[in-house]
Amino acid sequence: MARRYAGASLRHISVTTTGLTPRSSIWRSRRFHDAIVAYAFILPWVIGFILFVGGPIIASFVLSFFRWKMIAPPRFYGLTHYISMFTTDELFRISIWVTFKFVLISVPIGQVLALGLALLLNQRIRLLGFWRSAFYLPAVVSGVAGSVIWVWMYHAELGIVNNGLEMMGLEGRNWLFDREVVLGSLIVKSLWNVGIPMVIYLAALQGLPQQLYEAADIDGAGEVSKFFSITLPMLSPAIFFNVVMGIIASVQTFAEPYVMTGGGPDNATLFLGLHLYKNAFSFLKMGYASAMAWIMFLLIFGLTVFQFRLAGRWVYYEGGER
Amino acid sequence: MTQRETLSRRTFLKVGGTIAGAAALAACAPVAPADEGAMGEAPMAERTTIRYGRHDPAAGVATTLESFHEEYPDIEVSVEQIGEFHAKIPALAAAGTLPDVVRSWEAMALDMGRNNQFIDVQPYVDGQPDFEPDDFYENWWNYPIVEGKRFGVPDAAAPHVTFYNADLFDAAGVEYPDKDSFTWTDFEEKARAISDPDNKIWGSETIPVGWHMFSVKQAWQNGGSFYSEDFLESRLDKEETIQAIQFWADMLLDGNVMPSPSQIIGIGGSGAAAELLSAGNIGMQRMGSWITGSLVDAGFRFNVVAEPSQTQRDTITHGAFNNIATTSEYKDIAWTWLNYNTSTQGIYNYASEANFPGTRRSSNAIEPFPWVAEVDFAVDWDVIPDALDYGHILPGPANEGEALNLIGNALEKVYAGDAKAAEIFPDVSPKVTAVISDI
Repeated sequence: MARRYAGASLRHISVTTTGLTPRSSIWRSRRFHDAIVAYAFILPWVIGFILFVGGPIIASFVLSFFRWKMIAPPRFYGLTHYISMFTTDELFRISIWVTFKFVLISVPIGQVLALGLALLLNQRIRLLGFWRSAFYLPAVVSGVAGSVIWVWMYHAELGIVNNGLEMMGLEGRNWLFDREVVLGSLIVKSLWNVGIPMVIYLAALQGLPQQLYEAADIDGAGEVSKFFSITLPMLSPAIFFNVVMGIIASVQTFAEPYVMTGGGPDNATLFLGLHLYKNAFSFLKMGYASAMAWIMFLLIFGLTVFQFRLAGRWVYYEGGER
Repeated sequence: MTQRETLSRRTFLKVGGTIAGAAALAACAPVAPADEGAMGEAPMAERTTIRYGRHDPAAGVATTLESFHEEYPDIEVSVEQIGEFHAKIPALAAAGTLPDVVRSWEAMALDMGRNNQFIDVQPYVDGQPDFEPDDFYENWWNYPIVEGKRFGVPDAAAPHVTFYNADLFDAAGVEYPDKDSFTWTDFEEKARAISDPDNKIWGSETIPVGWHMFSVKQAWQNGGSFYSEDFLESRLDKEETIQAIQFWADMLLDGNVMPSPSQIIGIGGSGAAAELLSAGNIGMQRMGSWITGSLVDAGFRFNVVAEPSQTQRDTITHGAFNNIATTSEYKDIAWTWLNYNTSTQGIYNYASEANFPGTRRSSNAIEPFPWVAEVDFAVDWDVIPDALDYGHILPGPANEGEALNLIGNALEKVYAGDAKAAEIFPDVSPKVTAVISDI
């Protein structure tokens, strides 16, 4: 009570001596000062977010209801873009199907491969640091640079893939020009970046509690049994994270088809992201591309929500409820 | 009464939003024009800077720029090389920040003009007594006119001709192409006679992947076209166009005349063909005159002949137009530079750097001729400027990107042997018309 009175008294003195209003003392309070400092530190990020992320997000939503080819003023189009996307744009349907096939195949294969590599690199082997770095290295190469490398690897005449097959007595294919194999070629290329989920699995593996394995040893459990009963359930949060991130990244695939195939042959690699880009920057259909971006967002959002719903059934958090 | 002693999140977001909004508005505001009055009061003290945007390197106009700055010390021309030109120019237009003078491609000049991004320069031409419009090749001079307005002045033009490796012809015992009569049939016969695919020798270049306009010249040479004269209707469904595309697709698919597109992918697409020609692996290549420079040190004798013809002699001539942006604050000064850059000497300076002819006849009369490279054997160089008299400038329909995507998808199927031109072009044609007529 004494402190409160003291405070009131000080406030009163401040008013009488400086002529300021009672609220003016707020500006001198310690808590206010701390808040100003804290918000000042985050303000650059908030301004950046509003200018470069939040603003464009809102603008793209508004633009999706307009026809805008950049060199002429926008014209209101209502829901026309959203309707025509599903009714008249055959390439949109193709791009959804191509993207769906890619996600469905590349994500599971990528996760199995990443987990397998993580298990191998979690062993005590010679040159462990080298192997870990080597498998992670492609992840630090830019998508464009990696794609150019793979264009050469897939080259029908000069590529290492066909030359390697030839040495084994097998016939090569026209990997980027044959519509039957081109999507598979891009899926294989996507596995090159398996180092990112691999590192997460590796970190998760190293955090597994050893007492569970010791208890399993006492019970006489075999390696396979330990893997399926201990390792996999304990890794499920990491698997969940990697699958969610893998699906998001796969739906957004752009650099590989843009650089390696341009969406061909015959639109066999026309991914949703590439179709969006073409509409925006080749056809200058900014409104339509914005509408497509929102459909892409809803697709990713839906898939992510679906996975979170499923996660309760198979993801195990230590200390949490299953 | 409750006294608020901290800054609430809501207040903070309000303040932050206001600051960011103000910053955004400030960033979006048009750049304040320089004080034009100052130039009149103290002409030697203030220089007016104008921006010149182009897709190719500034080195191409370095000579002209230097002499311009000497002649006009009060004007500074800042050259901006703009990558991803097709996307960035519309983006700059949307932002209202186009360079004062823009060197734009054929279709872009017309599309930007139709949408009021470039001004009509005809009044400036009319007010310039020494301009001499008759000096320009007619097809180039008359091209950038839409509804009576002139959107740009051309500078240099690069026609497609046939380059051939005379040494490969000699080795195969094949006669050189006849300068006066060179038909598609002649081209195929000679190419087939030279080809030796097992040793990676082909009589002809391939048809470049993704460069759909490369094929339009084939249609022209057979009396067809992709579009009508006013670029408002597709002509893909015309018999002449269908026949032309199928003729060259059959030659490509034959396998004994030209390498398949997949055989050259990864080494530069259309540029790959130039590399193969330079490497001595290609007998003939139909390409723009800009490859001359790369052939000089190739180590074989080459020569030039017109593109082969079917019903008529025709070819592509590539080039660009210099335009003044509607948003320019210094249109008169922009014209001063544009006029200087498209003068006889200005065009010559650029053309001679790039091995192009100029679109002014007077530029092409200056020696050494801009398209000529120094070699120690005879070359029929006059074939190159001659092409400007009969060649077509690339078409300039509205919404060209989307139209070319439709055409390209159809061409890709035909060139891959997955469909015949007669089967798919009639289906694609109305779709193309719908796109290009949507102005």
